[in-house]
Amino acid sequence: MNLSLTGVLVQAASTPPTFQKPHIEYAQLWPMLVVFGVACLGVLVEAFLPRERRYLAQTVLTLVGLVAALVGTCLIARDLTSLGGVARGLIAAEGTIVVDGPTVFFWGLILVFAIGGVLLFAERRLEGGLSAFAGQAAALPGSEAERQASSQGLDHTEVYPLLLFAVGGMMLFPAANDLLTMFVALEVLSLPLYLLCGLARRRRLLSQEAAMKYFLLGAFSSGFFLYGVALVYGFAGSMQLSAINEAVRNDTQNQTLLLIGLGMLSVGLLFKVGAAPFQAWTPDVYQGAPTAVTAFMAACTKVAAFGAMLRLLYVAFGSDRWTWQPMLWVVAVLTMVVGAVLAVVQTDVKRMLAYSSVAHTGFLLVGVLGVQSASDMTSGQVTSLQAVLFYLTTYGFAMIGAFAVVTLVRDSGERPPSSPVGPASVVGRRCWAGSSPSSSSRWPGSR
Amino acid sequence: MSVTPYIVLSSILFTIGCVGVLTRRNAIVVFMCVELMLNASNLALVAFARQHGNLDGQIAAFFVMVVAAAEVVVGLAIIMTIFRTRRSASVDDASLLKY
Repeated sequence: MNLSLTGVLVQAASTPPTFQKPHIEYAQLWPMLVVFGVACLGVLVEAFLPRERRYLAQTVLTLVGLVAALVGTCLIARDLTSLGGVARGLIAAEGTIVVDGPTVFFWGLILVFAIGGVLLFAERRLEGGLSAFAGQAAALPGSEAERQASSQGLDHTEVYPLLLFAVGGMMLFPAANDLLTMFVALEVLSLPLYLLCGLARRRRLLSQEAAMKYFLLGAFSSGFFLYGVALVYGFAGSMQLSAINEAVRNDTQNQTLLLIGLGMLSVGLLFKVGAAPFQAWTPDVYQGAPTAVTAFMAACTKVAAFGAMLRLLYVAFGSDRWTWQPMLWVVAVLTMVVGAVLAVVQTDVKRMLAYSSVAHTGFLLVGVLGVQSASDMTSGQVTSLQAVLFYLTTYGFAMIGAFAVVTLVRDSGERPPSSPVGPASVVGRRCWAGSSPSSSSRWPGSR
Repeated sequence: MSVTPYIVLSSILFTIGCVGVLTRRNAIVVFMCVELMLNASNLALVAFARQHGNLDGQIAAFFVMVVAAAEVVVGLAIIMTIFRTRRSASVDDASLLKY
C-alpha cells in the first residue's frame, strides 16, 4: 500500500498541477448565504454604528435578512427539480450539501421560528425599556459597572448576529451530505448558543452557570460525534453519506468500526436533541438562559438536530437499520418516561417546560425509528419522514408560544394589560401535556 | 505500513480525555480534556486517510483544528466570566441550578 501511494504521489508531482474550480449552486443555496451574510453585516453594524442606533438597526437588519431567506426558501421549494418518483432536489456544492424537499422544509421551519425568536429578543416593554440581555456581559454581577450599564440603558445588541450565525448553522445541519459538513454545522450552531445562554440581564449567576454547563457538556458530546465521524470514515473510506451507505451494504468486514462509530455519532445527535441518557443539561440550560433564548433554542435546535438525525440514519445507515433501531427503541421509551415523570415534580415553569420538551423528543424518536419510507406503503399513507416533520412543526410553534407566555409573567405574577396570554397559554398548555395541538383527539387524557 | 498502532493510540488518548472530563473538577482542565478528545479524533482521521489513500481525513483534520480554536475562544470566555464572578473555576461550585 505504501508503494502504491508513493507511486501516485510521484505521478502527481510530474504532471502539471491543474486546479478545478469547485462548482457552487448559488441559486439553490442563497437563503443560507443571506443569513450568514447578514450576520457578518450585523458584526460590522456593531463595530461602526453609535450605540443608541444599534438596537433599531440590528433588529430591522436581522428581520429583513430572515424574511428574505424565507422568501428565497419558498422560491427554491417551488422550483426543485424532480429526481424521479416522489424525490425532488439536487446535490449542491460538490456533493457536500443536499437541497431536497425535507431540507427546504427544515429551512422554512427554522426561519419561521427564528423570526419568532428575534421578535422575542427585541421585546423591551416588559423590562421598562430594557431588553432581556445583560447591559454589559463583562461587568461583574452586583458591581458598580453593572449598575452604571443598566442605568445608562446599555444593551447587548450582539445577540442578533449571534442568533443569525446559529440560524445559519441550523440551516446547514440538516442539509449536510457529508460528515465533515455536518460536524462543522453542529459547531456553528452550538457556539453562538453557548454565548447567548450566558447573557441574561436578571439572575446572571444562574445564566452564567447555565452557559458553562451547556458549553462543557456540548463540547464533550461533540467530541464523541467527531470520534464517531473518524471511525465511520475509517470504515467507509469516505465522508459522503452515499458512499457510507454503499460501504454499509457491501462491506462485511470491519463491522466493529461501523458499530462504535454509529454509536458515537448517535451520542452527539441524541445530546443535541436532549434524549434520555443525555438530557441532564436541558432543564438547567432552559432555566438559566434568558427566556427569549430558551424559546429560540428549544424550537430551532430540535428541528435542526432531528433533521440531521433523519439524514444520517436514513441516508447513510438506512441499510443498517436493524443495528440502530433497537438502540432507539430503548432511548425513545426512556426519554418519554424520564421527561413525563420528572416534568410532574418540577416547581419552576421553565424546568417543567424543559422536561416536557424531553418527553416530546421521545415521541419524535418513535417517529424516527419507524423508517416507513414511501416505497413500503400505498399512496396516501404517512411516511416516517412526514410524521416527524409534522410533529416538529406543531412542537416548535407550541414551544415558542409557551416560552413567550413565560416572558410575560413577572415574578410578582402580574401581567401587562391586554396581553394575548390567555389563548396562547391554553394552546400551549395542551401541548405541554405531550400532545400537539392537532392530535388531542388521540390523546384524550391531555385535555 | 499498518495504521493500527495509530488508531490504538488515538483511542487511548480519547479515553484519557473522556475519563478526564468525567473526573476532574477544574473547568479549565475539563476543557483541556475535551480538546484532547478532539485531537485524538484528528489522529484517527489522519491515520485512516493514510490507510484509505485519500485526502478526506486530512482535510477534515484541518477543519477540526479551526473548530477547536473557535471553541477555545468561546469556552475560555465563558469560564473566565464564571471565574471572575465566583473566584473559582471549579465545576462543583457552580451548583445553583438543581432539581
